[in-house]
Amino acid sequence: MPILLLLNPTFLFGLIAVPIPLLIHLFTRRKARKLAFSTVDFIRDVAKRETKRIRVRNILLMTIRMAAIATFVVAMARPALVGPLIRGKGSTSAVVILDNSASMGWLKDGKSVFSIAGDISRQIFEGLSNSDDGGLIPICGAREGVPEREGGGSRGITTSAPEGVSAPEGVQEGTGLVTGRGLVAGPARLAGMVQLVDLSNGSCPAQGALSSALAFLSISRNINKELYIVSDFQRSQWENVEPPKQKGVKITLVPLLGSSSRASLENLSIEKAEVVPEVPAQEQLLEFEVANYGRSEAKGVPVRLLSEGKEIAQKYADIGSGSNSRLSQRLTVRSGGRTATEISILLPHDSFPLDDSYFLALEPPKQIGVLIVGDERPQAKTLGGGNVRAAGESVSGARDNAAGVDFVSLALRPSAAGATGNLWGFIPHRISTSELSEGELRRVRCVILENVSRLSGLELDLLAEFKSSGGKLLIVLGDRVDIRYYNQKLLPALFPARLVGVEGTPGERTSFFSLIATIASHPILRSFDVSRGQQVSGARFHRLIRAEGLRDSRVIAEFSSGLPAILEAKGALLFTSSFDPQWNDLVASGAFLPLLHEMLRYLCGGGPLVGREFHPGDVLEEELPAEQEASVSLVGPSGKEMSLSKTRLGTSLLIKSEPLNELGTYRLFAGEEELSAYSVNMDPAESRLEPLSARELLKIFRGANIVSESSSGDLTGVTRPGQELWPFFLVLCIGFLVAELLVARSIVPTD
Amino acid sequence: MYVQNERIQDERKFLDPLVVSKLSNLELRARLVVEGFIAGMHKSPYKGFSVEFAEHRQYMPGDPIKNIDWKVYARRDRFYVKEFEEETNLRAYILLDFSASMGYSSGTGVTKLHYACSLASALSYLMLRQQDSVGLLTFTNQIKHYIPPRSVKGHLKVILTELNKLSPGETTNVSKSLELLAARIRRRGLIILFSDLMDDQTAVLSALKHFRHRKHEVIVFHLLDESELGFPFDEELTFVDMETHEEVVADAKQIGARYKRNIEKWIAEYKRQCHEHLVEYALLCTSTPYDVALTRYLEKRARLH
Repeated sequence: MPILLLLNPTFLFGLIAVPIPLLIHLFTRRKARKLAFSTVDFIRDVAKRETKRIRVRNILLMTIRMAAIATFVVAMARPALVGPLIRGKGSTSAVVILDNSASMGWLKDGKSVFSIAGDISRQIFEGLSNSDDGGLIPICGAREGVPEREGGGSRGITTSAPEGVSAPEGVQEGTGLVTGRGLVAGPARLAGMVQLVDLSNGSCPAQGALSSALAFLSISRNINKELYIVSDFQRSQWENVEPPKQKGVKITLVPLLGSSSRASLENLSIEKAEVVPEVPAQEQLLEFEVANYGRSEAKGVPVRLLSEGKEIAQKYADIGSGSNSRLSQRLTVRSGGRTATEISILLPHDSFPLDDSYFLALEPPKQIGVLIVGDERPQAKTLGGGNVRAAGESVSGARDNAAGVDFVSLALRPSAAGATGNLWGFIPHRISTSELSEGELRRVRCVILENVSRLSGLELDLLAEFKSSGGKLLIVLGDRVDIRYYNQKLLPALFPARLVGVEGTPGERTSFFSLIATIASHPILRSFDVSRGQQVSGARFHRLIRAEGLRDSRVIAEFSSGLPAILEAKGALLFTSSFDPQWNDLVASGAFLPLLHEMLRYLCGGGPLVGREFHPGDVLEEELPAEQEASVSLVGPSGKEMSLSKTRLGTSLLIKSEPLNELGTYRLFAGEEELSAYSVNMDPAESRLEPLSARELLKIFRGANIVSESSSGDLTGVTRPGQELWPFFLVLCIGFLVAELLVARSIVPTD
Repeated sequence: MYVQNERIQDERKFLDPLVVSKLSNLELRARLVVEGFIAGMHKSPYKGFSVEFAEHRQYMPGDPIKNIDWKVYARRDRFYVKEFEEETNLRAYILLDFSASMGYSSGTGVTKLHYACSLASALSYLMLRQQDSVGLLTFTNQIKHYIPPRSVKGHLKVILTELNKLSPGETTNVSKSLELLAARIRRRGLIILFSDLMDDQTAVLSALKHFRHRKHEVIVFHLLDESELGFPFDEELTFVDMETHEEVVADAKQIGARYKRNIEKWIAEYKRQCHEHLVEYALLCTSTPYDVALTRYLEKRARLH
């Protein structure tokens, strides 16, 4: 049974104009002028007959006019008949979604599945006629967009330039893989676009491509709208796709991973790798997992480990089908090095080569000298007036035991570590304020002022000079702090803030504050993996000093009362509580070490054992000191410098890289100095090649055709019947107009 | 010659109803029309008509001395008297329809009634000048006023006074008025009817035949406006009957041709029937010069004698 379609249904709104002739007739009808006449005897009968005739004529005229408008509007709406009995080739828009995610890189008879998919896509386009149009949408790189109307040049979906696509001349930036005119006409052009799509290393969700494809087809004005999806239909990629709701689109699925292919698939992959610090500190343990996705057991699989491209070890693994094998290797730490070491883990190539390598950026432990300045060695407190010591404060229980313990030094250097260096990267040295000298300051980059009551004028000047020369300062408050002195002298010289008063009662333990992330993305808090407003740790803070940050400072973390906890200014941090167990149990919590380390690493450098890991397509974001803006650069695995966007945020600099697609190690430099290294490895999800079954596919894509790879040749011979009817309606409209002209001119009265 | 022609032209202008209508004084109008007509008589094919006297006869003792034609005496040395037409005893009855439809004018300012009154007054003037008796009967759907025929001096004024008073109104009943008059008059006379005849055609014709049956001579001056004949309208109009106030909406452009055919047919029937029954019929448009009517009258008078 033929079906009537409207290719331009929006035009049907023009039917509102159909009653216009009637309205004009009704509203412009003037009342006939009255004329006194000698007698109406000769007019009466004549008029009666004429009136009837005229009324019929007017009704006919209005009907014809309304019909002319209606047929014109219908013609503009482009009605078309489609169906098996309709002769005539219907115009077609065909959009192909080409899966170029990493999983399409697996090899089939020596050829990648992606190149097979490309051939099939070309075949589909070659089956179109010259009057048809279409589009090609790669899954990796497609973003959801809104189709734009023609006019002013651009008619198409605005998307970002797709990943893995070298845009040829004429393809506009921001229009995806179609030109500025939306769907591309001509099978040759469409087939040519296939070669512009490259295989991605990334894992990309399919929803964006599907939405883009449907949006393209929604703006098509052709009779037939066809969507082809050429993919391995990997389960992890497609199982959560929303079923398309668009009607009138014929969907054809070409799954490339048939059951026979699955049977021959042998795939081993490196799932994850990590480095664990060990004692003695000169060694690190590399641990990694090898997964077997094949159907048969893999025995004696050689696993090679390389350091900077040189083989340092070879392991052999026996991995059962569908299971993982955990392997490890000790790595000797090269101390004193200033750059990361690229560690590569390599498997023999199999059907899916992309997951046969894994990269780690092993960071050299940076040794940072840290000077801890305090009033005196930690001891039992005496109480007095004038500063924060409160009368009657007592020390009890475990806290008595904690008195006199140098928690800071302990946190910075493992007990078994030597004086010259350790894995944590800090060399702490504690002195009293009276021992502060220029010589001491010259040896370090970082100074911690811990619970210092006052400084002499000389001491204060030395610290101010140290800071202004690029030295970094961490100010930790406590019970000895002389608030008045700090506000008058110390803080104006070293940190833009003002102390207001003490919160919390000495000895009072029932109420407490928690430490909350204010800038969760700050490097100090990033490793805690919390969101803004979330608790950083379970440590309980019973006492703190209320502080107000002045200009050029910002709050990184706050207490649950809303009072600032960690403030940052240029080259300095202020912690408004104490490392004293009397004030809080931070030193006993698991957050003390990482918090102190991250504060110092942020201020003074240092870093983790292994550089951060990314997946292909991820974007690197880092916050650096603002003074590094001019010299910062990012170099990729093949030595290519990556482009960075830089945004100044007060005292720090936010850098954002372009998507990291190449697998391997990336290094971040500030001038010649390597700041950090990162590795990009394939998403393990791509290794899981298990596809959706045909039944599952049809549940998502109701009514779709599934064409196997072997039958894909049939796609070129698809018949697309359809007949547009607008010429017929236009002729009808012209006919009505001619009839209107003839009827309007018929003024000769009949006898 | 030139002067004479000019004079003739000047006087002929008073035969133009539009010109005459500008004169408010009916007597003046009448006089000018007649004199214009008479002046035109020199060039008219109706030469030989005399309006002053019928014939000469030899003087008999007792004849008024004033009637002796001294010119003839000078020529023939014999006494002859003028025999005036009064002596023919022509009694004329002017029947004038002043129903509402007679008040119609197509905008020229000359209504049918106005035309009729001018013509009636001119005829009265002419006839009285010829010593004929003239009476007047005015009617609408009934006889409104009757002035018996007289020929005395001052009778014109009576007629003109009555004519001056006329104002169109009411419906028409021509046949009834004709029948009543026919029953009233015994002596043979000349019936001059001024009407648009917008009435039952059969009844009107029947009444006219009645007059003929009684041996009266009848002249029917059928008065119509130009627009009643030509129907020059070309828009949709609501025609309002001036007598019945009936309204008919019609597209004049659409019905014009048929209207004209119908009215022509109607007029032709009047013409035919009148001719058949020896009733003098003259279709006059309100723009027709008065001499046409006057000439008709004279022709008729001549036939009578």
